[in-house]
Amino acid sequence: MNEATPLLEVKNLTKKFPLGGLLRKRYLTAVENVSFQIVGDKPNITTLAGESGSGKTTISRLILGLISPTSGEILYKGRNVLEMLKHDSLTYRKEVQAVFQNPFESFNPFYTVDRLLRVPIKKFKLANSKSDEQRLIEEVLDAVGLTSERVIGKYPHQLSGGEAQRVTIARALLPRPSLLVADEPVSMVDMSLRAGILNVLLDLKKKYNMSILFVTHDLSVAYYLSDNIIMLNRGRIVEKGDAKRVITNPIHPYVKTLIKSIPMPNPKRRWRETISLDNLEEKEEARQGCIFFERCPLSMERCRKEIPEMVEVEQNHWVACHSITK
Amino acid sequence: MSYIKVRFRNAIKTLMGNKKFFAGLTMLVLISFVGYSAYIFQIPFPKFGSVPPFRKPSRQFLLGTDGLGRDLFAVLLYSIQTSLYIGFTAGIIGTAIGILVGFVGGYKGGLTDHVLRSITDIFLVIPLWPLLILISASVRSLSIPVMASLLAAFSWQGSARAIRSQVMSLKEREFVNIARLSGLGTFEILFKEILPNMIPYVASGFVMSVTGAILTEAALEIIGLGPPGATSIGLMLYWSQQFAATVKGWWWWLVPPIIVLILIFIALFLILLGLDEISNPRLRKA
Amino acid sequence: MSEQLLEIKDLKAYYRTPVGVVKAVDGVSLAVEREEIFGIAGESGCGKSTLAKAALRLLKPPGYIHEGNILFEGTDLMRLDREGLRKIRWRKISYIPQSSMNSLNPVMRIGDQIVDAILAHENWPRDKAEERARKLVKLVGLPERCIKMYPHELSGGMKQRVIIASSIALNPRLIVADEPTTALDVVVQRGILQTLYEIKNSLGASIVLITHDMAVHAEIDDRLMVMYAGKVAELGSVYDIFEDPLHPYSDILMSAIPAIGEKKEIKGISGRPPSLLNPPKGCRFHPRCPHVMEICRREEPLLKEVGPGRFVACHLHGSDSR
Repeated sequence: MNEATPLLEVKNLTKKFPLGGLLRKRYLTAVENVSFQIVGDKPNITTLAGESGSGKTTISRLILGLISPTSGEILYKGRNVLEMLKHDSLTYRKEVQAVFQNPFESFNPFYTVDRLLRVPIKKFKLANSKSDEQRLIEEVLDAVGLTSERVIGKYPHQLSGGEAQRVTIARALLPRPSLLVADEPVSMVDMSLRAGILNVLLDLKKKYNMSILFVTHDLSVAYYLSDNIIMLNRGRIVEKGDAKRVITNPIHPYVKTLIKSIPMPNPKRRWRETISLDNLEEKEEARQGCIFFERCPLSMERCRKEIPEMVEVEQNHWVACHSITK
Repeated sequence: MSYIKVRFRNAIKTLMGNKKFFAGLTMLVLISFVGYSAYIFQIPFPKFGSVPPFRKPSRQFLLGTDGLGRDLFAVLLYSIQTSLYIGFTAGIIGTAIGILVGFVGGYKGGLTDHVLRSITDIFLVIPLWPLLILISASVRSLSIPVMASLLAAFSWQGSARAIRSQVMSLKEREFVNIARLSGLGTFEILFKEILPNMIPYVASGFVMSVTGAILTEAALEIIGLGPPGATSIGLMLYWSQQFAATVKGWWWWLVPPIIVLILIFIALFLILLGLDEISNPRLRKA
Repeated sequence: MSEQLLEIKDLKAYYRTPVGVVKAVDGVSLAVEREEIFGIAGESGCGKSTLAKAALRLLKPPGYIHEGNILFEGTDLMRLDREGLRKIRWRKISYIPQSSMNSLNPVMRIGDQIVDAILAHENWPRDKAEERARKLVKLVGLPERCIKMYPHELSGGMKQRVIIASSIALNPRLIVADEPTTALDVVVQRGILQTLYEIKNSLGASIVLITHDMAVHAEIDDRLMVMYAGKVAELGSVYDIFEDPLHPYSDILMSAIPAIGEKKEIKGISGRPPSLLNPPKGCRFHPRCPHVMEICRREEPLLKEVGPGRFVACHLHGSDSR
């Protein structure tokens, strides 16, 4: 692998979930033809952003190998991830780790919290002795701002949401991964405790030289943390690129509406216009043209039939919309 | 692994702390002790014609003798052994099968689950009684191990279903995904992540299997389908019927086995209630 | 000066548990004016949901009201009997609990559910109720054909609008909404907040909006109250509080939100939320307060008026002794 090989490359990834029905097989297309890269030369934070149903969590599970794609490829440092998981899964697991949304669900209620840390140490053979193990545990707990007395021997319900989440991050750090997939890591944590966890992630990016794939619906947090952002709508990428640029200067009509709808914590700058309503549940079959066709204020006949291509409109800012390609 | 030991010790403390469980377990242990005390007091297995028949209870024959020339007290003791043995054997085999079927089907899903579920459902649908009657009629007599196996063959379905649905919901839990990301394999996940959370279900299922087996066995024997050479509580009741002991007022033929059966049932039921209380904290006295 | 719509004086609502009494709301006073949006902010466990339920006398055992006055349009709700309360509920005050959109009856059409809610409180003929249901559905911005649909055919945002529609069916003066937009996508949330704002204007009603999301408060509140550990930390106009948060906790809540376009570091606090069984002595926030002083550890600060309509309970702003 050379400097130019991306850390993670997703190519034409598609995932369809079968929905019941013995005779008439119906599918829910959660992810459709998604392609993007995370660069490998220096650690960076890329956000997969979108509302519920956008496919962002499905993409993260595909990357982690917890579910398998319908079609498409995922390459980690140039190697096919599915192949790696079949023949060399420990290597992949050491390099790519994850933190999930619900801190308490990440723990098996039958065991104490520290078991979460000991299992990977044992399976990845990260320590040669008991004292080594202890030292390693203290090291990762310290990196997330916790002490071992606070954590060792306790059951999950004895920790606060913020503490529990920090422990799950500490667990992910143990094998020194190059990529951390963080799926809504703060959305179930109290607001006053979120800053601590977000700042821990920023800190770890520097200290542990780790890239982060951050999955969220909260664009304010995405703005704060990320270098790059990928905006999803119903399984397709509609806009992507440099996070600051995309969020402060969105081009895709969907992304524009989304960003305008974010409540601003400033009473002097309130929403001025009213926005139009959301439609009834979109029918699954209507996926021929642009994914946003039915709700787009700029929609044209072309949008109904043709899926727009991803076009670079400025440096590191890509949009898939017919309105810009006249 | 030391957290398993700690967990185990805590579990024993919790179990013993629960009044119902403790009471039930104590009763069961006492009853078994009574049954197996035959060996301590060197009471031999009651053979037919070993003593004069139709005797009333006396100092020599505490519960009298039956119509086949056996000391009823000895019969009772050995009957307890048999009933408990059959019940527990059927229970263990049944639960083991149930766990296997439930685990594999629940975790694997897809075709495997479909096949296993169909097998389970077929067994559930087969009417147990007519089948056992047919078998008995054609085979004349069932040896004890065979009867226990048959009972087991029809007692695993309940466990299998309950375990399967528990496994299906547990495997979707986030901590199972975390376990996979931490490098654990399928079997490790089943036994170290999922099974510990299923212990209450497995335990309750086991107790229910045992209860069902003991009662079913007794019921079969009362109507005359049991192994005649052996002695069990059901058979004691069967012979009482055959000799019309009720009509003749020979209560010592009937009452002791019925009391023992009821006590065994109460003991198992208390254990079940205790387990329920422990695993569902909301049932504990608030 | 018109009388206040809702006035709560020193309300204490507790829960009896096997391990002791949890003081979820421990001495809260507030007043809601006519035609205003009054926000209640705070994180999980601060008591805001309990406050809402207690104020409307909807608290069920093991919760109970220990003491306090609740005056609605001058009437003391604590003195009303069940019949009296029933007359007020839905007609004068309505309540939208958390996750209520998930409590729609899945086997009943939307229109029928709204009609049922109306008929449960008023003795109208059915067609009058149906006519009203049609009007309500349009009022909350739903297409009229939704009347015939079942809940599973609607999206989350639409279900929430249905709930709002039935809650305003009888033109209440006061609507209490507990986390009405929490599970919803941001565009949908904006639509719902817009609808609530429109309702305030068209019905002349007041809305008590309970949410932990400070940005939402900034967008539509007129006045805001910040709660911590069962007590009021700060209360005042939303502009004043955001411009210059006086209580350190309010300050942290404001700076916990990263705002788009601003590149400032976000702050948070450490430690864990306080136990309401055994709250810390003195000011309940003192173990986590970045400006803690000696007096904070000993004495609980009283809620003081430090400006017109501006209240704060903090030793940094005018100390007081108990």
